[in-house]
Amino acid sequence: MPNDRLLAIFADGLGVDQGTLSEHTSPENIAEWDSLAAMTLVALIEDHFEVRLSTREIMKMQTIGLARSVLRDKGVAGL
Amino acid sequence: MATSDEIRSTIVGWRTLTQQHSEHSPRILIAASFTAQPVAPGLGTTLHGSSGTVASIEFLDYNQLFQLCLDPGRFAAEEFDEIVIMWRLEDVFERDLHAWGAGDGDARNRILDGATSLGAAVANLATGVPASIIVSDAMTPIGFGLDHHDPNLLTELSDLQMEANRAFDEALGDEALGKVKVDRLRLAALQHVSGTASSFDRRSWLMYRQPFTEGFALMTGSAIAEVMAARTRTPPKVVVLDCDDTLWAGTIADDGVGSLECGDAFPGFAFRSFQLALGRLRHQGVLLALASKNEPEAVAQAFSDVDSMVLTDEDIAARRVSWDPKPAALVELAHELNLGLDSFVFVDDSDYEIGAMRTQLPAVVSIKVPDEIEQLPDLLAEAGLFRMIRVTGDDRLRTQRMQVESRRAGAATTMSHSEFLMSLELRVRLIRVGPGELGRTAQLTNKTNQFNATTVRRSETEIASLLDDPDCHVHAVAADDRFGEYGIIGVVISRWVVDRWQFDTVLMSCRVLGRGVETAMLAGVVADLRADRPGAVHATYIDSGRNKLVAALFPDHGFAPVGEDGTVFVLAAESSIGVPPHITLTGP
Repeated sequence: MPNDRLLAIFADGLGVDQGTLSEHTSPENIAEWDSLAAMTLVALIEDHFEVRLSTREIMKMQTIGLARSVLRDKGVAGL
Repeated sequence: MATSDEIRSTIVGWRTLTQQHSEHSPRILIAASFTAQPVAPGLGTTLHGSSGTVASIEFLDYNQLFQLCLDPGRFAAEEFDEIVIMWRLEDVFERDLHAWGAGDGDARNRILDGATSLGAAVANLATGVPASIIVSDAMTPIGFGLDHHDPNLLTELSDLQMEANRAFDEALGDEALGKVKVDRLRLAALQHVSGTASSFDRRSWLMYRQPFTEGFALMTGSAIAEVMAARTRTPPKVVVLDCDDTLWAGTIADDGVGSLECGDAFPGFAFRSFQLALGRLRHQGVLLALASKNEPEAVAQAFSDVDSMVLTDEDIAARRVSWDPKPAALVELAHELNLGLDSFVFVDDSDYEIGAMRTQLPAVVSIKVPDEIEQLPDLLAEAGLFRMIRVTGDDRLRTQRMQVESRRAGAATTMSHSEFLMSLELRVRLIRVGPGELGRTAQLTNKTNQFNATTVRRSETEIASLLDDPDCHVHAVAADDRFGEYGIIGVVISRWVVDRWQFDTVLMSCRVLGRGVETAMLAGVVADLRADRPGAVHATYIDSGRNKLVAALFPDHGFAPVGEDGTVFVLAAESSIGVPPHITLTGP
């Protein structure tokens, strides 16, 4: 998905090329996803999609795919 | 605080910059009692903006402060150029803080003891590594359900915070603070400005042990960079002030001195407030000067007559009051005060003058008096030019010293040297030292290196014992001229040996060099000695390696060398020394 907004945000937040990311990317399989990156990602996602994430929702976002489903559940369109 | 867009662009900007690290990048280590990584973008981009360098910013895991301070080698701390330490009471003393809240009477003391230990640990680090150290103070604790809308609790917390900071400071020690190596990051003040609650991100705190909102983290990072920049930045040293509609409301030429306003009613009150701010700067060692297009007498009259003036003549280090162009006046002031134009700030209400200054002397920071006069009192504060200046006692005396020196120097340039000397109205007073002068006399024998013929050091007690010796004379000289009083600046100790006088000590402070004071001193002493017992006067010059200045003192005053080595001289019994015509010698 070349125009995937969420992947673009993760690439930005993790400082990696978008092509290295997939729905299964998680803190377990990419070194850049450390706690600092996690903080940054939350801020980027909240800014971009104009949502406010609860800690419960952030905890659910263990992979990019799970992040996508959390955002869909919050009513974010176009994901 | 920064807007959300500004925060984003700073973070993204920093991420781009970090690609440019080189092995020459300055290395900064940040150790905090909490997760501090979000300060990096603010720190890094501010440093980049001010110095063009992209720093390498590294972090220790949170709460390793004591480990770092006590065992810096383990963290390769010696490899860093800068080490930043940030601590919070609720992290370092978490358990004791909760015990304190729960009424444990000893907890407060344990926290204060802990703050002392931390201060001592930071001092240990500062002496053990080459890096420059920046250390924060403790902020008001937050989180853990502390109710920041409860005034009683807030008061108790801020008392505890202040006591802990004091304990920390005392342990860190004045010595460490005085060294350039340890600088302070005033986190508590930043938190106060931002608001305790609104600088705290509880979600990030609970999830990542990261207590700062993004905006506050950015602010903190920038503040760290400012502390680093303040170390090398030369703050302005002089504020040159226009007078009319800058120091007071109204203009002398149009309104007359009697109509100028600087009182407690608007608009005078705004100008009075501005003067109060200027007075504080002067207290910090900043020089105040005037550049005004007026008759000098009228400005002088305004300073003495305008009701409620805060600044006095004594506050003004130098002035150019004339109808000449102001850029020329500033060049002259820079010359007179012996300071570069880049250390000058110029304040004027005229667009013309500000424009002239900016085009002709761009090195000068030119600031226009705001049209909305209620902004005047905060004009210099908001320009931020004088933040974080270190103030020393010597700085506070600077204006006074500069005034006297600039009067002297000003006088020297407009006439020949001999005319200048005549105009000084120099008076030298010869004193037979008594108990009242012992302290200063001993100080001079111990401190004077250059103009000191024998460099014999003596304590007060030793000099006191000489006073009781009938064969000994201890003379001091004091001097003053029309510019000011120098106090006691010379000492001569003489002893009668068999059939002649022998100088044991001849010294003078270099402050009065080049004005013939030494000649008057020798003339007075020789005359006074011979009033006691006539005879020849012997003198010795002992080369200390630092006193070449006096090698020719005795031959220059008619003493003949005895022997070949140029160290012993004699003034024959029939020879005397004349007092220079420009000096009035009095006493003893």
